[in-house]
Amino acid sequence: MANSGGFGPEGSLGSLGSLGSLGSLGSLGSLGSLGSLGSLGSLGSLGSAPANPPLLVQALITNRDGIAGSFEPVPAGDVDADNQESTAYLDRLSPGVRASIFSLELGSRIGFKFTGGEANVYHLQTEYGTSQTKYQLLMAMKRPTQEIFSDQLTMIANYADLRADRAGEIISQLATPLEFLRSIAFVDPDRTPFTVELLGMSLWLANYVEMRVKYALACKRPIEWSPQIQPMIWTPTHGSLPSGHATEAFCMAQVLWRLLQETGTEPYSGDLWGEMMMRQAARIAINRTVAGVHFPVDSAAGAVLGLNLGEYFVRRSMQNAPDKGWKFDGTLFKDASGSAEGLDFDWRQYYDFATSPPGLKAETDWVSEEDFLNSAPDAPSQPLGWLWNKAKAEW
Amino acid sequence: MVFTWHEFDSGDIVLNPEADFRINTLSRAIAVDLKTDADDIWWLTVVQPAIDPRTKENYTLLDIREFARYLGLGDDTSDFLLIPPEYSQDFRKSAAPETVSFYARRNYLNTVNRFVLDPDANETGIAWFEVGPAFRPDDIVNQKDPFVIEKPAEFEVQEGSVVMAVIDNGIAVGHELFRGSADAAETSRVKFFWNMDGVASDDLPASVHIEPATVGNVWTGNGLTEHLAENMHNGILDDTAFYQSIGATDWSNRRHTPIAHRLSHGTHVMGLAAGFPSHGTESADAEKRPIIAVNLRTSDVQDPSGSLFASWLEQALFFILDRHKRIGIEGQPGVRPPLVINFSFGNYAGPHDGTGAIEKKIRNALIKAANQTIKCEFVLPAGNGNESRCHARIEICGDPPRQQSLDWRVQPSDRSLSALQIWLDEEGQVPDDYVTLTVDGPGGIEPVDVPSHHPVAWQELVNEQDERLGLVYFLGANVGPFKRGHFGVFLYATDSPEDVGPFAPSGHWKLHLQAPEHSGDVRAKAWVIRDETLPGYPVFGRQSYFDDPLYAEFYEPGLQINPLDRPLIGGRLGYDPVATPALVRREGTLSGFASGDRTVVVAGFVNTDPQEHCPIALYSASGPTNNPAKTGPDASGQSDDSIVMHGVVSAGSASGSFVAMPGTSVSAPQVARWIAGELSQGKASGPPQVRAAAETMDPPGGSSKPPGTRSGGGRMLDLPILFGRSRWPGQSW
Repeated sequence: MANSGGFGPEGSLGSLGSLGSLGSLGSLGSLGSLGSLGSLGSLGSLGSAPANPPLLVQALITNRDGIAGSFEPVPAGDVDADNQESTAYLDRLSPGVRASIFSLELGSRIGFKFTGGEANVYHLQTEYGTSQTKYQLLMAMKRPTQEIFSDQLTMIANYADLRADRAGEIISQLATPLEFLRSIAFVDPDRTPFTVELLGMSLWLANYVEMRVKYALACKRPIEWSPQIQPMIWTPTHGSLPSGHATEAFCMAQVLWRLLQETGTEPYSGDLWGEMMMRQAARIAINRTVAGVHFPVDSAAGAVLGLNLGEYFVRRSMQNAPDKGWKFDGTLFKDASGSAEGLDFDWRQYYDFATSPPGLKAETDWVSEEDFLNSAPDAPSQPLGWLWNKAKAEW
Repeated sequence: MVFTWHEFDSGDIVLNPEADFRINTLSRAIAVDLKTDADDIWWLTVVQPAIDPRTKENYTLLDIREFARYLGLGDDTSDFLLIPPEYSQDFRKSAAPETVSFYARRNYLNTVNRFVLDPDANETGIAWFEVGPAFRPDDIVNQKDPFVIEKPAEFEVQEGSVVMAVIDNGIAVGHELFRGSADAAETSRVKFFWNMDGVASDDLPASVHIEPATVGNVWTGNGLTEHLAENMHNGILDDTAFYQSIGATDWSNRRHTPIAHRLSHGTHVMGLAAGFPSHGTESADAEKRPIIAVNLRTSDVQDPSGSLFASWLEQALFFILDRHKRIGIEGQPGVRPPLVINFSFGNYAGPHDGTGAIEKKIRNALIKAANQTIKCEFVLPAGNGNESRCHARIEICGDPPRQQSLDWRVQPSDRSLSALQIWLDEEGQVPDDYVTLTVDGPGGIEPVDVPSHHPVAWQELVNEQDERLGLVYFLGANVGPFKRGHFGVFLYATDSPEDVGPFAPSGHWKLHLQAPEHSGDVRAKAWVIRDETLPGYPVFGRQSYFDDPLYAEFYEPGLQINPLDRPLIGGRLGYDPVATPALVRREGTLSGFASGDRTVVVAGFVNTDPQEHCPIALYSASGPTNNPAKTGPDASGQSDDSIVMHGVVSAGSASGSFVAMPGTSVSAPQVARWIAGELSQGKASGPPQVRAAAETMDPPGGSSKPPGTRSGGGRMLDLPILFGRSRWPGQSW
């Protein structure tokens, strides 16, 4: 469908389709498939014409044969070299190619280590050209105890009550959260292509990190606990905590909300827009519990990871060096009685609208924040800055 | 499996065979469901006290408890009988009203059931009882003393206000339609909310705004307002957080939470009865309609037979009348606003002559209100069983063969009781051989006869292990509150995913009613008890029905149909064909709660253009009843937007959500709202006034006017469309 983009009225449909292809970045990713890499190419299909149809290729061969004449050599001085490592060059690249660049900008500064039962995600502080580098803790996550998962299982069984009511949403949300976020803010590939690209990259980051953490923490899915949960959709093969849907949805929601805020454009910067983004992300997360594939604690961990990565992404895009990390200690996910039976996922426990910027808060026992210590020089990413400004200019 | 019938002997005789079946047979499945022993279950029991020969008044609650000490069950009656702590000490000491509630264990109920008809047994103080919902010991607040509310919240409303009380299930009280207008969006108009389905009061964070309740929790409006304010974020309510905070949702303990669904029955109904949009309304209009809401337990409502949720009606009405006393009118000390109560539920069972326990309870509540000079009206739906094939009219007249037969289809994979009642038209006691019911089961079960023996006759269906799976009985007139005798057939579930077998055989059951010539003309009416799974609720039962080859469900050429039905080949018929020979009828399907004189009963019509052609909805149940003063509904209100757009629009569960829902459940509250408007102007608005108003809105003479059995005085065509229609004005289908 993406290949039909740019052709008359159907083109816009095609572009919508390409939203879906962008989606495949996340959805395939969230299935943990290598396809997520392949689908990066679909970023390139945003609004583009079909590539190299055979008839046109044949025509271009004979056409050149007919008109090109004898080949004339070109002296070196006749062509101006482009500037190297210049963001101006990004304008000329297809979104798919840019995605590869942004992926390196993001991914090359992320480190990971599993130690002491804790999955640690790091941000690499580095100044190109110097030897000073340092890994700073961006996210530390401990998995809940088996007792906590056991406590939470009844809640999943009870949430099944909503399956018929939410089936349409749950199936639609197998793809990325973008379809649901774009119904809040006017995101459209034809109208705001760079915002789509920005959100696509935040999704990439979320998926990139969450999969590694899931792998490390190896939490069993509800279907592995009870034969009576019987999820209404396929249970992904990767681990349960943190919830990938929660991570991705909250990460993208935070990026989009912060982008709107930064534009200062009325009415987009009002808090109600952020309220809706976060409600949307929470709805997506909870729907995964309704479907029977996640514990509420998975959503809590995912929300914390996603909001953290979202703000990290925004800081890096805005050329602000990241300066703190967060911890999610799943072993402390209990109420005052020491049980997690009635401890549902409540996104307001993790989000504060009153801080500047609005975002994650450490209100519960199991979430805490830590400033980076002894920071090394940290070079901002020019390509990410370019993308942020392009997206910002669309609002 | 071999099934045999056991006939009762004099030692087995009980007052209420249905209650016996519930606590001694159905309890097998209920105990598994509740994960408790059947002997430990507490049963909510609706009781009609006996008359104290000394005072000529009903025994008091304390008398009944005192009698319980001498039934051989032990001195400590709190082991088997609890007076709801909602009843004050004064109430307990006074002659009890005609209907009261107890919580009782089955050792007590079995004893009462045996003793009442035994002239040699000890007095129990009870004349009749019906058994409702079951509870684990931990599910109810087991308090020996009456509740005391330290500082009861009181409210003052403006002159011209009318309190709207709604008893329903799935009431999202935080919906904006139940709050103040835009500048008072954090103020609840619900003054008192008993959420029987909610987290127990004791398990909620302590609050001066929570009042004690045996089941669930009670909030005052001040508490709801406080929680609304706490959960307003960026100008709008976080519904999920609000309901969590008031203990209305709890995913760790509830298998079904209606208000978490997009559509919830109670929210929709209450929206029509008392909802006002936050924008575009004079705030005074909204403020003059304070609300008292009672949210019934979902587990009781999902059983549509009515035997569970209707048992709550006594407690619900007691609560409403009690809390209503705490709503006064500004500047008029001692004066209280009028009260309208909407109960959008129906059932099929019962005598259909106004003597049912629920009908009596409603009547008593209305009398009680009138005695306190409160203008009070009670609104009920006609019911949706017009096409259910759950009603039959039986006539045995003239020469032999003096027998009529009915086929009853009992469904396989039915997790609930399947049951029916056959009520004699004849009032008073009849001879033993007046009429005999023969029940012929499937799969080689031998036929069994039950005669019209007074006071009670019964046969039990048992398996080889002597486990009871079915019951056929006759209960004579004036045994209990009923002035007519009736037969009952009760069958255990035919299936369950739980280990609650053995099961009753599903299939084709035949019922033969025979009467000797000397009985003269014998007439009776049969109703299958409702047991289907309700839309949107967890799997419950499958509706059994009468299978009558002469019943015309659809039109076919040559059939003489009612002029209000359309002769479309294959089209559904809303009326019984002219002179139908079928025993199964649409006529007489009116809800079993709706035969009392004093209640306003509302049918449903389908809107169309021009309006004078609006047909009564096919499902909207039909009179007459066995009460000559109630020949059908009093009026009809719109229950469908058009023949293709079912339902009318009202509140969905979440704030800002509006959804369509059909049924007479939604026409009733529109009329309740109209009644409130009339009462606010000081006008009387009981059944006669509703009938008269309907007649004015739908004048006689037109060819399309439905008969009184379907629509009473007429279609209330002038009622406003409250929250938008599903099509544009002038568009007709």
